[in-house]
Amino acid sequence: MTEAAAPLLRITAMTKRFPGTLALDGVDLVVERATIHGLVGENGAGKSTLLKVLAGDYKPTSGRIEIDGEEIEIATPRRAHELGIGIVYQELSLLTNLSVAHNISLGAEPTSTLAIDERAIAQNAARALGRLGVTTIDPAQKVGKIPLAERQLVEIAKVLTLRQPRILIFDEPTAALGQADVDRLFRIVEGLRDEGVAIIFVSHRYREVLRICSRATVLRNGGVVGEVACASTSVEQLVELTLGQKVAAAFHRTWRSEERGEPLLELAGVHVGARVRGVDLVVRRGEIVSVCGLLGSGQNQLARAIAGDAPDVSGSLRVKGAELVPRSPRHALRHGIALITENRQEEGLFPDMPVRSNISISSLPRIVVAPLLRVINARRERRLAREVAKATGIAPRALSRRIRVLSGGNQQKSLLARWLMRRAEVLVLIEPTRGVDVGAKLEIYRELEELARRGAAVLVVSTDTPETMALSDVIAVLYHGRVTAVFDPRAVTEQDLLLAMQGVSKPVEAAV
Amino acid sequence: MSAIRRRLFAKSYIDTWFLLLMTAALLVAFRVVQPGWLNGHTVQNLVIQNTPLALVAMAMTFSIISRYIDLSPGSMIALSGVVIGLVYTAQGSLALAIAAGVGTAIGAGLLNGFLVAGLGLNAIMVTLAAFIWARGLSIGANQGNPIDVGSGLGTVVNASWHGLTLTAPVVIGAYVGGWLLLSRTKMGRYTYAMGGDPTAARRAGINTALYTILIFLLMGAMIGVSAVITVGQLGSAQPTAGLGLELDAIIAVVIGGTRLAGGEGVVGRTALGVIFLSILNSGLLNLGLTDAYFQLYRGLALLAVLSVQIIVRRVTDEEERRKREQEQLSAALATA
Amino acid sequence: MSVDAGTVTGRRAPERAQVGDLLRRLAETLGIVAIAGALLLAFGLTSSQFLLSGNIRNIFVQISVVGVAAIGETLVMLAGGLDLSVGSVVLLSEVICADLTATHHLPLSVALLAALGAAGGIGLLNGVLVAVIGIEPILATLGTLLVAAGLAKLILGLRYLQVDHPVFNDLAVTNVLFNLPIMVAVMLGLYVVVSIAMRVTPFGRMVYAVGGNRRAARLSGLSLVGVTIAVYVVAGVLSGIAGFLNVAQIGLVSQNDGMGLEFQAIIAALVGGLSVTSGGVGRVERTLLGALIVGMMTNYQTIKGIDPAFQQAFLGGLLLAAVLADRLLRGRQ
Repeated sequence: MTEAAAPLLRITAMTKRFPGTLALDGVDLVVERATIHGLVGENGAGKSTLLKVLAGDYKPTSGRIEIDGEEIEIATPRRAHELGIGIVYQELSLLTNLSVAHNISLGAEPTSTLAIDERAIAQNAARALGRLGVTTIDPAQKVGKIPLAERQLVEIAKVLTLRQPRILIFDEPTAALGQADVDRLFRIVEGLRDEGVAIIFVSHRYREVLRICSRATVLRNGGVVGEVACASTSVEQLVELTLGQKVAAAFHRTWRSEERGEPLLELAGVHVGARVRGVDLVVRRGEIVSVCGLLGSGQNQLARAIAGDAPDVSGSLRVKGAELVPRSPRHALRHGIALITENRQEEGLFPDMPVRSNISISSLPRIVVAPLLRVINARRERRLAREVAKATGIAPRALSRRIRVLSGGNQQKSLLARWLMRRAEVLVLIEPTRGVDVGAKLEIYRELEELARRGAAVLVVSTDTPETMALSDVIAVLYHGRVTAVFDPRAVTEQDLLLAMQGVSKPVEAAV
Repeated sequence: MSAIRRRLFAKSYIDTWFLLLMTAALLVAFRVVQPGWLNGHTVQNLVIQNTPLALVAMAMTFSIISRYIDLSPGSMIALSGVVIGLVYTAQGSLALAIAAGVGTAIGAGLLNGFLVAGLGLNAIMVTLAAFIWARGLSIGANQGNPIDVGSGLGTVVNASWHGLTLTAPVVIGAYVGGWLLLSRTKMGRYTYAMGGDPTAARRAGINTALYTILIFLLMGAMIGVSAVITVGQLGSAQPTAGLGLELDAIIAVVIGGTRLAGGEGVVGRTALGVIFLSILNSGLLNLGLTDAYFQLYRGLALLAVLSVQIIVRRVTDEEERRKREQEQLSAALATA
Repeated sequence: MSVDAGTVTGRRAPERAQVGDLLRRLAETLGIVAIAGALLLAFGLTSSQFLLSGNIRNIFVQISVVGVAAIGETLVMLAGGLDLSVGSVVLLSEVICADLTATHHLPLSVALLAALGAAGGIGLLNGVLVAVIGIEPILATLGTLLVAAGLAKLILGLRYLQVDHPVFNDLAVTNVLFNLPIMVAVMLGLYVVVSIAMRVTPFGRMVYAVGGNRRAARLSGLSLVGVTIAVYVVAGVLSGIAGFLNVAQIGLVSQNDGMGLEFQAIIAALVGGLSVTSGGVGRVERTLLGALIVGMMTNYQTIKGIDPAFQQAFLGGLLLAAVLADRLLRGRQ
């Protein structure tokens, strides 16, 4: 009787500690050869840290990795390549200034004497693309000039040129793909599996995970909370595991506006570059409007355009009745429109300034002693900061700390506080709870509701459908840059929403 | 044929055309003001005097593509020259002296490369420090006085054959070599990769530390050769050699069309930039202007060219971005 | 962590981090003072001349010009830029001051106004080139370096301008404040004013914000163009003041004045703890400490008879040490 072969990949008690956070806490993972193993969890649950450890980007604090029964250490990305580990990243790591063929062979260029063998590179590219069944990409074209879906295929081709790919990891591969591209991707992935590769499939889209994976591991707050057999698991069960509580016990609106508030924001035929083609939308005082769509549908561009952070905006935009196209964030703010982006580290926070200063930075005229004497009134600043901190659930003790030591949830709340102090009337938020733990998420939802109750108009861009369903008064679905559906979340199911996001829509509801 | 024509007039070559135009304009203007300028003799001088600039600018192209700025070349040329002088004075052997000088330059390159790539220090600050300490050492070595090296080296460096100096093929060789290095080898490819996206480069398994150090070593080699030529030209090692050279080199690269943001550039463009700058400097000098006007005009010319470059770029970038978005939109609609 | 009270599920190790963060910040502030103190001690013990009151006075006088210029450079670097034109602007200011008073016998106030106006004008040019046109600061200020130097030398011609004005003499000679001349008091006063301004004015906050996170600053409604131009203009004016003080100190204006001053200013700022790895981190008052440390080292080396050229070499090494320390303290960004 033959002994059972060791699994291709076994991770035992993987722990990764950073100053300030425990990103991975004793994670165990087993992936057999010729299987597709799913990895799910909220943002910040530890998925990307785990991937970075496997990729050789991070060194684990403790834990063991075994490939084919042999314990190994992945010290550098190069080592990961040698071991046959390939990762197709979410934020594609292609070089836009190089051609497709050069990217495919990057890091492993064949050389004849000293020079790079260009013919071999072209052959590699042709072979890799051919293996994927891709005929529409010109290998000589610069990556910067091809669309996102094709770039992802190039990334996959790149990973296939590994000398001997044994473990392939796909990080959110379908985030920006249309259905046809997703199907093609799945065919490719399943083909790779059938060749004996062990595949780890990381995704937020539980339906897809359940469709393509045989097993799935659920991470929460850096630890494993469960491993399921996909054939016998439902989306609801997965959601329950990742949330840590029954879906029904999560957020519910406790207040909704009784009458229709005045429209604070009216969009008619708004175009933003080539991404947003003719959007009509109304956001009223006291309302939370969500704009939903698959990544790449144009909702981010729309949000930024409203807040003055996008070029090429045309069409009719009215703010409180006045015709206005915000030309810059400063301009938008002068008319009461504030923006919180999905990327607080790069676009929201001032990491080395205290929380209080982060909050008051947009309200400097409010906290000076006198308009003529431009000196900051420290007492007034403290008082105002305390007020908004209380309203947003930030402990007063945190106000003097540098904001970089706060948790993601509190950082996000600080950004809310910033706009609260500024008395923004139209608040635009992109992925407001990304990278925020569950408790803070609930607090943020409650705060948004409170903001609406106090008379603000809130526009949320989110790809998190349960969040959208629970939070909004109105949901507008964007597909290929157009509004294809408008829902009252109380009247539809999450499935309707997901289908609409996929481009399968019910007829548009009566004008809001 | 029309494909070539299309490429020649492509938007990305606007920079180059503009530069060629400016160079031609300069030539004409200077000839008009000083008709005797630019005979065979002055061209020879032009080439010899600007050889160090040309060599350093070639290496600087690599640095800038990979997103570093190197401020040390000028001071390092002086230091290497001083080392040549000191060793020659002490040992009497020109060969040994040259070896020591070139070795110094390469050693400094290694040091800077290690500090930047190995320790992760800011390149501008590290090379600024070298700019300062190398100049200090050069001046201090002989109390600020030049060090004589005899005439042996001078005859080689200043030799000319039918009006062509020895340094000309050196420069041409360096640029051809640089072009091959940049376009055909791993080092060149990885230079573009590191400059385009350092994270992606690391993820692809590229040993960025190694290749960064190689770029510094290349600069060191160019500095070494330049030092030999400079010392040979004057017959002595000057502690004030190379003053302002690094900034001229950076200007040559940037005016040639390579962006300071990194990720793209070719040595051919730098060559154009060097030619433009040499003509500008030489012409202005030849006008017999006082130091004051010289600096003033150089400064204004520099700012003007940079401004025009950037504004033109902004316009073409916008158009390109818009075009790409349109293409993406039609592609998306086609597959919808 | 009480900040996260109300978290349903959550696990983090932040308490340790906050203490660590506090300790690190304490180390930064005290560290430089400690280094300055240690140097004072070491130099005092190994040289009989060092601690003489006349020598201490010398140190302060010698760092006055760089000190004032370094204030401006610190501000520019805090906002994420770089100013290489400082030395030339100092020269320009000197030349205008000297020329208008010594050659044209205009009242000093007019000369000062003209000098500061010109200096501020160069600063404005810097700001516009960087913020409006979008040229990299290194290249833009290099260009204005040439322009300002050219203008200065145009006015100066080939001569040395000797200035002998009672006010200038006063600045350099008359002692107020611990046996230190007025010009030192001016420098210290400027440090006090600017340091306080950076802490309590909106402008100060905006500079830190723009330097700390440019994109966030823009989205927060700050005017990047406005702040950038302002910071370069202030640096220009401060360089102008530095030039004025230099005339007072030396009494003679020559072609090579101010050369390399920008590098000394940068070193003073970095030794004082300005960070190149993290934008928007650093304090103006610490640059004064940096200037003092550099000044003490230079003075000590001069006392010990070390060749000025080697002193310069040492300065380069000091710059490396400062950058290394910054890296160790703040990690790779």
